[in-house]
Amino acid sequence: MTTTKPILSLQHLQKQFGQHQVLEDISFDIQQGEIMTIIGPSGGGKSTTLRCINLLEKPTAGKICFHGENILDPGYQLNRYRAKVGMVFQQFNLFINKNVLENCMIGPELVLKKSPEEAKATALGNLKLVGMSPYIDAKPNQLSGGQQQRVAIARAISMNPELLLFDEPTSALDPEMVNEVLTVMKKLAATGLTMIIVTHELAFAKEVSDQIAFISGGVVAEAGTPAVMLEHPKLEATQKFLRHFNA
Amino acid sequence: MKSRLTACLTNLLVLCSLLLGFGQFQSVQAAKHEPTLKIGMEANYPPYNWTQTTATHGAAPIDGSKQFANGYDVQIAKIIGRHLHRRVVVEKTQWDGLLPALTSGKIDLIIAGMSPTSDRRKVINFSQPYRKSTFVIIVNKASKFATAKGLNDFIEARLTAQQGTLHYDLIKQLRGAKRENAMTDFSAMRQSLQSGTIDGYVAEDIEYESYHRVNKNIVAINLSRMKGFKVAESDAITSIGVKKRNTTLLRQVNRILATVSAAKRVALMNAAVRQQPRAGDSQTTQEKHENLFVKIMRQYGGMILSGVGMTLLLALVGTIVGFVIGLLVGIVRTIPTPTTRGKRILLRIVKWLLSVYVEIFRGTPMMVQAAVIYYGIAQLWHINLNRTVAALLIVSINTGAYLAEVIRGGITATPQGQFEAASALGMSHSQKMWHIILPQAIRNCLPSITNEFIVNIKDTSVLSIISVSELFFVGTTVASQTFEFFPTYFIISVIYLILTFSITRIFNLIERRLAGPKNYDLMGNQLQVGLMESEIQHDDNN
Repeated sequence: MTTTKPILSLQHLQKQFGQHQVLEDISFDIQQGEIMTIIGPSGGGKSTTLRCINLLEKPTAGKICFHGENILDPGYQLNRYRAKVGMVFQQFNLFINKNVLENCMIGPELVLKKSPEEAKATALGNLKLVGMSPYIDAKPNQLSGGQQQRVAIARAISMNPELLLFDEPTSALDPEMVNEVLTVMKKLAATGLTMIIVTHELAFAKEVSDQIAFISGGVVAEAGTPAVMLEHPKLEATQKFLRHFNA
Repeated sequence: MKSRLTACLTNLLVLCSLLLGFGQFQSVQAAKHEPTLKIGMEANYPPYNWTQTTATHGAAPIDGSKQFANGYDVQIAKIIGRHLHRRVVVEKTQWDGLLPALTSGKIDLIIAGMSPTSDRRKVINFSQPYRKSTFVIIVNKASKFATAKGLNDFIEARLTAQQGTLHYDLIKQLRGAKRENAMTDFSAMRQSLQSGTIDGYVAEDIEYESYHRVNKNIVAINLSRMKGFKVAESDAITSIGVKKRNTTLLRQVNRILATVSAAKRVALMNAAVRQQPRAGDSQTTQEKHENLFVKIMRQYGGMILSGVGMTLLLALVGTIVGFVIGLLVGIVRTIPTPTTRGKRILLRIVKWLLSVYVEIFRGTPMMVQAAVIYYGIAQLWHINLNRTVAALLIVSINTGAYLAEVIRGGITATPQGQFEAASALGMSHSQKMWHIILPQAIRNCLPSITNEFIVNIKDTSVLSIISVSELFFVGTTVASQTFEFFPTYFIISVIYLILTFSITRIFNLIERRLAGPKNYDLMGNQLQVGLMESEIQHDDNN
């Protein structure tokens, strides 16, 4: 890949819940504009890794460097960092007391201190991108899962993030809604936005990823380009995992 | 939506003040130039003292209401006031509240038909007597005790007397008599005697004279003349109570009392007996046929309405201020643990103090809180709180303690995903709370807040302990003046029901409006709570 400084670098990340060590040793780099997909069995630590990157979980040990600065250092401006790192959740988590447009405006207004006009313009543009323009006045509970997830993506990109995290964005959706969300994600991938995606959609991963990491047992067991990872994985575990999907 | 809610609450507040405007405060406005002489009495012990709605027969205004007090005590008070060049204002106070009111400086004198017993002398000073009494037992004419001649003739008689009085102790001298629970005032005793729940009650001759004018079916048995009857000289007299250190005032009162001749005293007492309020008195024939309920509403409608206003004001302000307190406490108690050590310790201390506050005010009756705060503040810091202000304070703090827990519950019941999504956008704790979590939490808490409002409407009745003239207190006053207990309390209970019912409807409407077209995940009932929990669990599974 490129030799420039990585936008994000995880170094020997560990996370323990009580006695249970979920992350043993997670390390990887992601470059500006790169798209990385994380695959692996349930309970292997994929989601925990992603949640640690956004500090929704606090790692027990290790380093998370953003532009070379460790975000775990005391005194690091955490909220400024979070404003630059967007997150799309499995359960969408739209603010249920706000309508679609307000969901996309509140972050830019409160955190980025944008004017309401500017925030609205950005939000409307992004809602158009995800095909949700007709629903700007709807409340989240009036939308289908796929629609909610598309709004959640619009909310995340309205912050104009440097890095966007996806935590199994299609896992909670009915099959017929998966595609509408993946289509939006492909559109985003084409814009050159840096993304880390935890997913089980292997065909999608193959199409958009620059690199794929296989996380299992709390470690990055194997990583590489889609061609290598999906066609000729070295490890027995990876092969077994893929067989399960191809069957 | 929010503005609609605000408008609704504003309207309610305006209504309260309008109802209260039925004469509240106007009496206090008059003649401000002379310093006041605050007299403590029950204003519910005719002929010594009673409450009336007009200023006739030289009545004195009752502080904080548009009512007046009159009676033997009031006339004595006015003589003292005239000599001291001070304007007499009556502080209507329950019997048990008289001593604390005097020692805490809320009143200058107790003139309430009180005897200077040795127990009381320990706490306050007493003037020279302004009346000597004869003790009697009042029984029904038809009763087998009507012919009693001696202390031994009351075997198995169910007797009572006023709570905290010497009268009640006198029953012990009657061999074999059953001492029933003491009662709070004479109206209650009259009612009990009439309904037959007691055989008689101990009182002074003057109570017999008054009661006999209304009810010819009673007789008085003179205790004072019975052989072997013992009563201390200090107990058979009635004196004026003065605060211990206030010797100047005591000297002045004694000097003035000395100028009132025995003949003058008898004349005053006779006038009081004549003028005291009586059921069925001074009515035209047409009025006599009038429905009791209509009569009560016609005579006391204004008073009852201003009681409604006070009750609504207390409940409304109490709920709103309590809600704000609850909100602040709820927010502080859900602040996540900060990273620096100093802040952590500070937060822990603050949280501990708040839980102490919640525990204390949830764990003690509001009635006790009212007495402690009202009299305590006066006694410890010599701050004489206005009764209404004190009542508002107490209801607010009390409600705050309850709502703090309700709002904390609402905050913790908000799905974790909402917190996470807000964090992921980089919002600070306060931004998360104000914009995302609290709007949802408050909506979820609305049924509980409605509930608290309704509880407040009913429970402010306990504030009658500090003599706030809310609906129940007004009801008690009306009942004791008309002697019509059932109709009065029936009217009062219907009013309470109308109040609580309309408020429930109003809030249900607000809730439905807030919910929007499709049902919102309200925490309204258990079914929906269960639904919410399953959602949260679902959230955790990812």
